[in-house]
Parts: sequence; structure tokens; C-alpha cells
Amino acid sequence: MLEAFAMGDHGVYVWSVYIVSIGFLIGLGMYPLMSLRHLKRKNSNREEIE
Amino acid sequence: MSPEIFFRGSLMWVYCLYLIGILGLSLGTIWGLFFVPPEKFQGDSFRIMFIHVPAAHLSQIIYIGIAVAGVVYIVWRTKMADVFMAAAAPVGLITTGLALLSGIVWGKPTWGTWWVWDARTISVLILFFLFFGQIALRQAVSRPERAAFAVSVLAIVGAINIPIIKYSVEWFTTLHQPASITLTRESAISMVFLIPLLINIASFYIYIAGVVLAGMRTLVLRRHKHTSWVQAWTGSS
Repeated sequence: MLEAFAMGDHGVYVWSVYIVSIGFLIGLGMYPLMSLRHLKRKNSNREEIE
Repeated sequence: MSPEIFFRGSLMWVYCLYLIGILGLSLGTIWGLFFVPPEKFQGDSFRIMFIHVPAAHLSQIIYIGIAVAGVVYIVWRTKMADVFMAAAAPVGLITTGLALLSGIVWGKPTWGTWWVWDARTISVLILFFLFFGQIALRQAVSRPERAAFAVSVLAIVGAINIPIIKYSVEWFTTLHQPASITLTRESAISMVFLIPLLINIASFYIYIAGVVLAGMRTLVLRRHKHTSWVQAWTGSS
């Protein structure tokens, strides 16, 4: 099992690329959804104040 | 298409594209990492290909899309074209960054060096700075119409870099291999590697389409926050 993850000497290269890429892809997907939610909350708070 | 119709009609698309993209990327990545044998010459480092190739493909397609949107904006002053450019540029920056990063890491075990200053790497680095320039230029120009015009011009002028990226491996001597997948010739990659790679490329396209669409929705809401339909939407749910 560990050998499969080690991939000879190449595991560190392969896994570092995958971890960074998956992190960025999740961030890319989450950012617009979070921004929209934030904007919506800000707008509805402003309406309540007005 | 009016911003309101776009905003209301695109939500289901965003969720569908996200779902299909995530499922496809999971399938292609797990297949490529665990169910494909090591490559004869490169060993296991070739598995970086399942990230590198889709990211590199997509970064160029995003730039072409931005350049086309730039033409549409300059000719017809279509606001949604500007929204597309604003939403797609940061996504293009990230995908190009991923293509560069994965290429750098792949280079070390394959070529014995992290980086070489050859035509392919330099032209992709220029693409990265073109995306960065798009974002910086939009921030630097205070009037939105002028910013959109300036960004459109930059996008169109920068499009000259796309054929340079594509043909750099044929025009110049470079360590980078020529294109392995083309529409006109038989693929140079074995089917064992090609199927998960194609799944990842298609899923990358689908997921990133969802991300750009979601980004456009956010921008539309931000730009129209004082309109009655936005206020009705924020108040209704």
C-alpha cells in the first residue's frame, strides 16, 4: 500500500501536484458561491436598515 | 440576454456543471492515479499529465474565449461579454498557474531540471502574465466602460500568443514534447492512458465552465445591486 503511494521516487512530485491542484480547484469552485452568499447577506442587511 | 434572465436561468446550470465536473474529475483522477500502469520511460511521474494537460488546454481555451468576448464588447458593447471577461480572467490565471506548476514539478524527474527557458515555457509564462494583466488593468482604470474597453484591446492583442504556444514545439527546438492528442492524426498516447486523460480534460472543461458561470452570476449581482430585481431576489430568499 505504502509502495503504491510512494510511486518509486516520484510520489513526492505526483502527490504535491495533486494536493495543490485539488486545493486550488476547490477554492476556485467555492469562491464565487461564497461571494454570492456574502453579497446577498450584505444587500438584505442594508434593506433592513433602510 | 438581459442580466436578470441570465442570473435567474443560470443557477441550475452552475449546480449541474459542478456536479458533473466533480464526478468526472474524481473518476479520471482516481483512474489515472491508481488503475493505470507506470509509463515505460517516465515511470510514475507521468501521472502528473492528468492534471497538467487539462490545465494547459483549458488556460488557452479560456484566453481564446476572453479574446472573442473582447471583440464582441468592442463591436457591440455587450455588457455580458465584459462580465464574462471579468469572471474568466482570474480562472484563467489559476489554470495557467496550475499548468506551469505541474509542468515545473513534472520537469524535475523527467528532464532533470525544474525549468528551462524555451519557447513553450516562455509563451505559457506570457499567457500567465496576460491573465494577470487583464485583472490588474481592470483594477487600475476607474471608469468601468473604459476598463472594459482597455481589457478587450489587451485580450485581442494578447491572442497572438495562443498560436505561438501551440506551434512553439514545432517552430523551435524545445525539451517539451509535441502535441500527443490532435484531431487530425492518431493519438500518440496508448488507450490505457488516453481514456482517463480524456475524462479529466472533459471534466475540467465542465467544472471550469461552472466556475466561470458562477463568477458571472456574482458579478451580475454586484453590478446590479441597486436594481429592483436584485433587491427583490435578496429579500425573497
